[in-house]
Amino acid sequence: MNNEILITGIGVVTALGIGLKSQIDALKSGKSGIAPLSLFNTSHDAKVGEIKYTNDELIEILDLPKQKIFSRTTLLGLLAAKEAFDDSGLERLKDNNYNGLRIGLISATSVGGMDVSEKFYKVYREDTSKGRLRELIGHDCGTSTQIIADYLGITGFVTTISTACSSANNAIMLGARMIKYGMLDVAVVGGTDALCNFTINGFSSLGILDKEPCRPFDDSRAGLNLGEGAGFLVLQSSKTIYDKTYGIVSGYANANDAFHQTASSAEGEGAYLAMKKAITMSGLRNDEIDYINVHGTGTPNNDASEGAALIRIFGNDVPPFSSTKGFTGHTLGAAGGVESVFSILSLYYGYIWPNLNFVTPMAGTELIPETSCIKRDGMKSVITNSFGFGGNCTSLIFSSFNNKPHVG
Amino acid sequence: MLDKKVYINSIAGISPPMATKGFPDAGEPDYKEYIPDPGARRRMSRIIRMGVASALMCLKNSGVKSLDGIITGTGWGCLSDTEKFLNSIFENSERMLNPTSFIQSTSNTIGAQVALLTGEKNYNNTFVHGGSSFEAAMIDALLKLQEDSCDNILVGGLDEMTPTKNQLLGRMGVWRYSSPGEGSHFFVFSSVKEKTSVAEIISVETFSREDLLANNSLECNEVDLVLSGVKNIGTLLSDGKVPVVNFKEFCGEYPTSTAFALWLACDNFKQNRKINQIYIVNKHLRDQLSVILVKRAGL
Repeated sequence: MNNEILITGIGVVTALGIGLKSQIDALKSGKSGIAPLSLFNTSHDAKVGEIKYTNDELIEILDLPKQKIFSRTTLLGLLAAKEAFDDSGLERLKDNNYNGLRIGLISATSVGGMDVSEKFYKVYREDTSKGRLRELIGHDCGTSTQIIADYLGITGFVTTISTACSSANNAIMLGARMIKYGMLDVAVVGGTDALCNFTINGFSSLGILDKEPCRPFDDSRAGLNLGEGAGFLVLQSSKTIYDKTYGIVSGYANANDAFHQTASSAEGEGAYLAMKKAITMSGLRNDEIDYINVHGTGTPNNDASEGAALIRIFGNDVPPFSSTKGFTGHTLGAAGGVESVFSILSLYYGYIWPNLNFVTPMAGTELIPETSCIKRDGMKSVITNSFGFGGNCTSLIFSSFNNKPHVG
Repeated sequence: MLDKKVYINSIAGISPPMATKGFPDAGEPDYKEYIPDPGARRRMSRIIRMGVASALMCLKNSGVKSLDGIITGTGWGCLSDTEKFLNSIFENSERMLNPTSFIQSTSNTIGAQVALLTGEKNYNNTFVHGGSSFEAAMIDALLKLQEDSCDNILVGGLDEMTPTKNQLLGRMGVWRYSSPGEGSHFFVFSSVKEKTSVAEIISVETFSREDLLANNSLECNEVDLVLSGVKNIGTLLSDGKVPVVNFKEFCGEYPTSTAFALWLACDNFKQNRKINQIYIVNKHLRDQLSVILVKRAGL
């Protein structure tokens, strides 16, 4: 019996709302979550994809102890991971010690507890004997993961990946590989990142924040909007007992652009290698890819580079594609988690999500993303891309379970 | 569980605490040798310099021409760049900030810089799970090496001690029972056994709950040395039958100190023909407990 990597649960929180339903509704109706920043004070005139709940409200929703300090990254991760876990039906096995299943958690984040640390540091830098040490407990990226593991009662392999904006795709890939090689039966995988002053200022210093809503793949694109969110999947070996499945993980690959610490190469080498290797692994033909959820941040550099990679692989037959960052903003380390959920929803319910704010193709290309929501039944395979600083590029392929890719 | 055996074919490291304890070779090298571009050298923070130099040292020692992956683990990440950028936000009221420290604040900077300097376009990953970050990097490498046509992966564990981290951990009371540590150690993990192979990795495990360690019985008659990062656990496990060395007496306390311990284990295999199997056990502060079991290559 083949050991397929099934997707048995999904969960997500973004500027479009908490939970799967709010995402589907907004994606179908083309309603963006991008709005002026209101979570904290900054001198930057930034439009962002923020989640319209305060930390106190999120603590209330999650029924957590009110006296403890949680980073926003942790809270968002908890929401999405819990939804995915509940969706998988595994929760029911909790009292029975999950029937002995080896369950792991691999999360991803780039900012970790920075939203709390920067509050601490403001006090600390004036007087190094001051600042509440409790606020620092969540600074390390691993803390959010450990809290999620404890909350879900996961005692197996637990770890955290941080490869900038490709982080969550790498977490999903590792979970898939651990199942493939029999190290885990179930892997809860994804990523979480909250908005914070550190990243607003960081991306502003790089000159790649657009004050207007981002316009991925449009000729006039001028930068990205930051977002926050979390997206998690429950992956399960097909050798285990499961309730339902959204599809399988049929391909994955990670490659490095090895070009520049922050910029992508003009020919999109890293993106090309990641997509190409993932397709090869899946055994699919190019024409069997029904949709690509591109990284498409809206920066001039990313979209040009990713576009070049698409053309290198697909030539004149680039499959329907879109960037959903016009809805959510760029959720950094969580992007791969959020967009994997969007891609799985696309595959399972048969929709191609629209790319907002697109009017004119990039100069020299005829790459035109889908701009309205299209219903398409019988979708077989979708790709999702996440690329990050440091040249880290990771592509994942999800396929419907009943239409397993042919091999050879 | 995994079919292919994994060997350690090359080791290199920088351990400033070790250098102060009478092992000057373990200290920071002349970075010019590894990072010739003075501009690049100046921009890099100390963790990046240490990481990049020890990675390149390891590659040079190995003689490996091309890598199938670069995997790093860091518990604290790039602390000094993070702090530098935070300070600049406050000092300049969010205006005209220099992006260099922001760019270099992400934990994958070292793995990325090594890829950039060597032109390696293959697999690249970074783990940031406190005291088991290096162990996760090892596990990822073991898995990756199971794949066809995957022969050599550069694996490293690194953390830097900054004045702020030192002061904060002091305020938390950590230095009452341990001393500040830092270091960067890299290894070439390979599915191919070479003449130069130092060790074979038998297992790497992390435990969220300490009681789970009970299932991981130490077969004392096979282990010749325990390298322990937690005094009482090492003694408890060895039950007086196997010598226990508290490796943090050399490298100090930091999240990826097991990368130092693995380096020390390999060094033991090189120096002492009587030691054939080494058990490394560690726990950093309140993080996961980990166990690494290695044996002399070719046994």
